[in-house]
Amino acid sequence: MTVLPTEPAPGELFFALRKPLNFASGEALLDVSLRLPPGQWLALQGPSGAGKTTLLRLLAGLETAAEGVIRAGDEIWLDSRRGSCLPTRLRRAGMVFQELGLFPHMSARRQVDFARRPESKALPTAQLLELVGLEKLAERYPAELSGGQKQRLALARTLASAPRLLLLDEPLSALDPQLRRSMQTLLQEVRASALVDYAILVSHDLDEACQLAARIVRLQRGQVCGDAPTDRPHPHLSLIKETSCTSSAACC
Amino acid sequence: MDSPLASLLDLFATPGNRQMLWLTARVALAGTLLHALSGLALGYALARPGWRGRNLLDIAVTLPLVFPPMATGFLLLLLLGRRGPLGEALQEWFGIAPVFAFSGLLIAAFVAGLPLVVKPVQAAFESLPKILPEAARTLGKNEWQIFCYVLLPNIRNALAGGLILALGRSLGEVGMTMMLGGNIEGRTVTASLDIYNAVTSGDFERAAAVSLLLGLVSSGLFFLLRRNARAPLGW
Repeated sequence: MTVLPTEPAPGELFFALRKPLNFASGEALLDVSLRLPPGQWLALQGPSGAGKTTLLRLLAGLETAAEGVIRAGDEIWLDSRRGSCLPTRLRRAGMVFQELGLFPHMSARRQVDFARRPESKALPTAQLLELVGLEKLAERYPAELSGGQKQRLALARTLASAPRLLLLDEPLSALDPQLRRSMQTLLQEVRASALVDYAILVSHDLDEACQLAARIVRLQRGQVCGDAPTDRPHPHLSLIKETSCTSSAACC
Repeated sequence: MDSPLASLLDLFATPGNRQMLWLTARVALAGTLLHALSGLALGYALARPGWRGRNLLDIAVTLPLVFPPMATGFLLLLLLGRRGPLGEALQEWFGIAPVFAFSGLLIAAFVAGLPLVVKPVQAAFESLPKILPEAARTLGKNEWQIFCYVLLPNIRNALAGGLILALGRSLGEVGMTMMLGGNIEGRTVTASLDIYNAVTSGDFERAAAVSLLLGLVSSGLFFLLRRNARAPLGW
């Protein structure tokens, strides 16, 4: 397994996780170790089945790692050697799922209200709905919203839970180019407003990843095979650019 | 022979009839309450795969749907009767005689209607996307909050539909009710048994009046069922 750090930097998100992955074509081992300084947004790229969604689910506590550590600042979310595992609801890892998971029986306002934690320091519901441009559609149900509006509601709902770590699983994949651009702008606003401590987003689009994240990590069959900042030239970034596709061609 | 409406109104005129109708209503109400609680608990448990005893519980819940009511009643009588293993224990420890009393009628109504609540509730829980509870978990909700605020409102229509069907089934239950209630005049005769008794004693007028009443109630339930199917989600 990847070497664990001895001295954590203050406030950083650190995780080292290991879990077998099962594909139709065989088995692989997800073995990822990464550090995110506070405020950093990281984009995950890689072909289908590389373990991107599994990694997000492990961080959220929706799946169990065979072995691993997750530390968010001074909070230990998982330490398999000590047998400690914080349940999902206590992790403050907000996730915008690819399928969104909006509650069909709740209006937009109710979804955001429901997501608020008692001790929440998140923006008020009205302000969150305004941030995502849904203030006039607050009483509508998910079935009455368009695809883009649903995406924005899912983001507002997640932000209402005041997450430390924001996980975005292909948040823009189902949108047309125009809605995609407006969601990108919205995510940039969220990033600029420092509403979350760290964010990890899965995106197949390299330009989008470069716009939204300060760093891109490429996964291939469960392993990190590229890790590069997006704000300056880096040999890994050119490697990621060369291999940025959804095929399973090896890049490492 | 009086008109059906006059016979129907006559039903409410005598204390004995009112007692029979009140007993039927009490069994129906208590049975519906039990069905709601156990339907939710059993439907939720059966919708979760991979635990020991699930298949056995599934068979036990479904059995009254396919087993003849008279035979089910007889088995329950053997089990809960004064000399039955469970009946004797209940009598000895708690002083409760579950058969030939209100409790016998309630057990019959409960067993007859149970699969009609559990099965749709189970199917509704099974059809809910897994992502709903997962999303709620990431929003910091505990399992009880998820059940009450996320799952329950989304299976509400299935629960309501199941309860209406079970109520209709328990109102029309005769075989098990006769076995476990004993068909004792003034104590354990419900509306359906009253129709049976009236027919066997040749009192067709009375049988028609009670049948009309049950028919009206059943039609009301059918109307509710159709309305429920079109109802929006949530509370």
